[in-house]
Amino acid sequence: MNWRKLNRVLHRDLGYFFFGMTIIYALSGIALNHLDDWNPSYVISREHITLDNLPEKKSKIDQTYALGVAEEFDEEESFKNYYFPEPNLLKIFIEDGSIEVNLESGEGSIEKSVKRPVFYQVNYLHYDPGNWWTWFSDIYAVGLIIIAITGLFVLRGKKGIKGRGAWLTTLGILVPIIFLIVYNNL
Amino acid sequence: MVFTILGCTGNQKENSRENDVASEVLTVGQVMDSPGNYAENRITVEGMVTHVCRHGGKRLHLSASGSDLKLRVRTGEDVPPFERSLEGSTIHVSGKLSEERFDQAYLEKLKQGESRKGSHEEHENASSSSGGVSQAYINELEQRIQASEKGYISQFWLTAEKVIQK
Repeated sequence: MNWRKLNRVLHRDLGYFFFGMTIIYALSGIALNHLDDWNPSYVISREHITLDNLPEKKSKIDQTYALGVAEEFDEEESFKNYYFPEPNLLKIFIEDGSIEVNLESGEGSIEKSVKRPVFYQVNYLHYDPGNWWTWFSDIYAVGLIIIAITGLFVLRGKKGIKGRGAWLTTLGILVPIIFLIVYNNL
Repeated sequence: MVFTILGCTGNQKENSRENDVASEVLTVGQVMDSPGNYAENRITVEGMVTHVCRHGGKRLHLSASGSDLKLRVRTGEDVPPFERSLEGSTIHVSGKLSEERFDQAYLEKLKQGESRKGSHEEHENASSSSGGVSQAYINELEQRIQASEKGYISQFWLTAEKVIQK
């Protein structure tokens, strides 16, 4: 097998094998680039509520009271627990969410979250869930380098690395260098 | 029902590590009353999960019902990210408690944007796109460091090796 054929085989088969990983990291990369704009892992809904029957004293709030609040909003079945994150704030945990009530005003909200399909899973993997995944993603990274290098030599002629390929490859390297110069980090 | 989210079995190293963990289950209050007594030890703590990090589930807060004390927990090696659905659940976490100190030198690095390591609050306050930390957080941290007698503030973190949901 000559080197060009080996190059093609490597590029093709690694490309096939790492297709899934490329999609995972590409999707999660886009998702995590925009964390300020959305929560990519969960779809969160929030509903404003007002609680009328506030206790006279905070000390009167116990499990029964918290369960009663959950019941008022049809969440008694999903009640889990309660606590006070701040002196005047009651937080009741329910399945897949929570109820928060300001104990002075009675104003609050019910927040519920469900996993965002696909994005939850790809983000989970992107955040490196364990050692085995770290190893596999390292192998993927090496595979990407090989795919990139072999990709340079797949075509021959004027559209290959001696022609059009050279220009586009140079341009692709220049873009991040320009960003580094603009960000004053070169 | 009791089930193990992550168990370390079938491995001599892990078994010996488990044996290092004190069999006594501590409350969040017991640990946070005198965290220095448990620093660098492997302990098991029971508490209610009051917060799971929204970014990657790598950190959570463990509290006691009716208390504002909180113990910071982060995932250890081979422990998968914490699910948000753990909030409100009572769990047992076994792992090593360690102290992190934030002093003036750390603050300077933070101001220059050199340090990304730090507290969960910092992580939560970080702008996800820039990786930076808000000025308000830096100011608050500076005030707390200046007000401290020791010249630094301590944060105690439990690095989870095993998590069991009750």
